[in-house]
Amino acid sequence: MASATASSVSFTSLSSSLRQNQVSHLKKVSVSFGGKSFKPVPLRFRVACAAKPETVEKVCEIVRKQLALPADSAITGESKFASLGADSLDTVEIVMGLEEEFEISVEEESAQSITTVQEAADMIEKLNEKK
Amino acid sequence: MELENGVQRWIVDISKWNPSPHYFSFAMSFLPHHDHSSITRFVKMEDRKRALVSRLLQYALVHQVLGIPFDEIIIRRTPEGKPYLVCDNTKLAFPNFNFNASHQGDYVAIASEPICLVGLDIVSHSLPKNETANEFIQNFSSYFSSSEWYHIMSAGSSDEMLHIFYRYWCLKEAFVKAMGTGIGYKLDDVEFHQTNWNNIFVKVDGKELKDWKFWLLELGRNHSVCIARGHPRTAVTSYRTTLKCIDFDDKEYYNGLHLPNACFTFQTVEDLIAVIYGANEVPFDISTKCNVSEDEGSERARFAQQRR
Repeated sequence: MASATASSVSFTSLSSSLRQNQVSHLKKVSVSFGGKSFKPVPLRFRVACAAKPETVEKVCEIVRKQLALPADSAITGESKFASLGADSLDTVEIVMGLEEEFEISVEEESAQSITTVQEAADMIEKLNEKK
Repeated sequence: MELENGVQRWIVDISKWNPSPHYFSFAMSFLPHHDHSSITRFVKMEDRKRALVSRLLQYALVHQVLGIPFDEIIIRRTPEGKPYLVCDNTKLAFPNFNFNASHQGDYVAIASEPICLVGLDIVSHSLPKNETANEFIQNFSSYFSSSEWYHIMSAGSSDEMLHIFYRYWCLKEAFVKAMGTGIGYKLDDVEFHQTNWNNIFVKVDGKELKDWKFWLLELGRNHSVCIARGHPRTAVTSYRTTLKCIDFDDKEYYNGLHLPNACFTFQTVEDLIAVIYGANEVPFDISTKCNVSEDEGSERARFAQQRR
């Protein structure tokens, strides 16, 4: 967790400088105090090995189907479910869909923390490792 | 100011609003610049419309009810995503003014309260696309108590099953949204009781919450809306810290809890813009401040002319 001080803090994504099989989850966050441009977002920093592209692709497919997005719509690892139009019902169904497709069981607390395709894919791989 | 003025329910039917891209940008230009990306991040136009109208409702309501100059209205979100008003609390007319917005399907709405926490949720009773009603509902079994589930499952038809399901979901959502938590709240321990969807009360872990009230209304075709009113003490920490006051003596809280539940008033996007634009009494260079193109600036001036 970054500690916030009364100054401008920004973190930029390092994904371009890492090799292909490593993806940084350092998300670009911009925090400034004192001005009106405050966007409180949960700060999550995880550096993990990337989920297999097939996993990410399958997750995209499940999300695309659940949210009735056209086949050519741009869904990537970074895509946030909410931005794609998912409401609370959709989010539950997406997690259910993932549980079925990948034969895993997701705890409710973990389900809460999945907000993007990449996070879902990473969680799937993590749960599969434990099998 | 009378407490009742703090009880507001505003709603917009966006099925009737089909703006051109130009008009959409124009409408968006009435919001502070930092709000724009939170609207444009949505992929689907319908979601962008809902996000824009939700924000217009928030700024318009705060300006109209609290009289805060538009420039001074700061609305932020908790980490869980709940919007709240930031301002010099001593100026607020009400002991604990707070609001909640919701959107789904054809409607975007906002509700405010002067004392109690308020939660608002709209559901659209839509038919599931890729599965039967029963298959769809089964996905959510862990969010319902056994009595609620029994009620849903013993409905006469799959349509009726869906209606009951959506109404309970709406109640639960309004409840958690009032408190400011996410969907992870243990909802199977939250049991709603009602008589024909009136006299609604909730039991949490088997105990009735007497300091909460709920209303469920039908909206248009196939939509429900729920208002939840509850004690500020129960707000989740991140939201509680944004509230002006969470401790009330019994009498004051009782008054707040029993204020009339105002009716929803229908607004149009033009109405909301007029409220916001009317706020800009002090002339300033709109186009510089909000990064609006010259076209939009002059369109705004024309718009203002027409409304006067």
